[in-house]
Amino acid sequence: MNIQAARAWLVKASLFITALSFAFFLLAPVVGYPLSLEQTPRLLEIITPVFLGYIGNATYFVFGKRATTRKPPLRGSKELMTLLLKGPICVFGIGVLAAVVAFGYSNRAGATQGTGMSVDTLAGAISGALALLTVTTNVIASYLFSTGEQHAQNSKGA
Amino acid sequence: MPRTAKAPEFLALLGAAIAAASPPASRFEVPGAITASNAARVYQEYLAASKQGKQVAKGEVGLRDKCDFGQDAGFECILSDEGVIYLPPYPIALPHNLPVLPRGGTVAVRRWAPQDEVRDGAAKFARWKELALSGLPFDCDGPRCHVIVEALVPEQETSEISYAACEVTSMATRWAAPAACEQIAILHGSHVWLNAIIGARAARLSMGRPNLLLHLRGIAPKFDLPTSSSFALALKGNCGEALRLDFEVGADYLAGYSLGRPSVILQEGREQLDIYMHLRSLPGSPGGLGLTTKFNLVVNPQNTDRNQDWHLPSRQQEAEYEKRIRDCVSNAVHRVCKEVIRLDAAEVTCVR
Repeated sequence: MNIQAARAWLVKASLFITALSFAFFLLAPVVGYPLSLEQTPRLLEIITPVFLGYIGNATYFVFGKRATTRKPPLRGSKELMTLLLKGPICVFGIGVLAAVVAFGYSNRAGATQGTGMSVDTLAGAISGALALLTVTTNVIASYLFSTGEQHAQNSKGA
Repeated sequence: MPRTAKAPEFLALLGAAIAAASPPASRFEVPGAITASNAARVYQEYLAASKQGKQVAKGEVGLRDKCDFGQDAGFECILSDEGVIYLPPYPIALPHNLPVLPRGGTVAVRRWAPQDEVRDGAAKFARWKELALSGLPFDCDGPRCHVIVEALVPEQETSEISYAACEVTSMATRWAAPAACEQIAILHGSHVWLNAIIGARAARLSMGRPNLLLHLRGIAPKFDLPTSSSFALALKGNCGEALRLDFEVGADYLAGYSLGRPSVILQEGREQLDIYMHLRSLPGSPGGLGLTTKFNLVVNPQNTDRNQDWHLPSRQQEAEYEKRIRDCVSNAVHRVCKEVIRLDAAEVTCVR
């Protein structure tokens, strides 16, 4: 995967996850999922800012003034970059899916009383899954969508 | 002795241990609770605006008298035709411990007052705070006890802690949700506000909160009415089915409860429902049969056991329960009466 493909993939993944989050958490309370409409904004507030941030970076990269045309530095192999780009987001997706399924199943009508997952625990699980993106995808996004301003400033300073 | 014969005893001990180890909810929403700033404002308004308050503020010596408050004597007060006005330091008592007030047959008037304007205010507050921290029920009368909880008050500051006195009922191995809570104290930083007794006035009909009142009257010439027991059985059948509850039937009451089950009335979530129906003979000639129904309800959108996840229902949710209860009571009346003539919301004539 080259740099351009990596950028496109990250933007597509961010858009997809944002859209899916909105659709799920807004529709879930009305179709019988054990979340109330008062509780869903809290979960949306955890997930969407991260991916909206990536989309924002990409938008600024496309339309902003670029100080340099240099490609971002890449020390490892392209295969490693692909793994680091796609892997955490896939892990995030699997983690959130597991938490959502566990929440729904443990809070179903037929579950043993008192064994349900709380909204706090669900929020914690989602936050935990996002933590992986903080140490990987955030760094990758900052390099993929770098406008070179920092490098240009450093060069001027030198 | 076979092991199985010891199992019920062991389970009873285990249940008692669980009940002891699992006190009732310690933080609870209390309807009508106020913040410290509102308590202060109410007290200042009372001193400035009301006739009684002005008398208190001016300390009208000429009108002062000595009044009792239960077994405590020596409270300064002003006696009038309207009732009694206590002067600071005010008496104070928990709602269920109110003694007989002066001028017999009067009801207590409460106002928020600073702790130092309440007799033994500091000691009483310290005791209530200790009870709230322990969370253990006290002053029990059979299965019904009392508990002091930390009241969750909307818009209260982070430095505020409110306390409320509630009724709580022991049910098998657990405690029902606190009910009939009344806010009794507010701690705001180093200031304490207490809901003191500032006076007493003539009793008048209290609307209270039985959720449903129903009077059955007979029709001439015989004024024949169903018996209390037959009506109770009809209620047990109809309301038991409508609410999916197994009612306990006593001499003059029906009681049913559910603990954390999926709601049978709301479309989602779980409920803790405590419903009590009291049957009595109505005075007058000809008499009648009266039914008072009260219910306490807390709901939880999820299947968790944490106290903070259980909260009071919304108005719509409460209205749905009330409608279901009204309908089942109405059906029970139709079961014991051949014909029912409704006179108003609470009065029906039963034709047998």
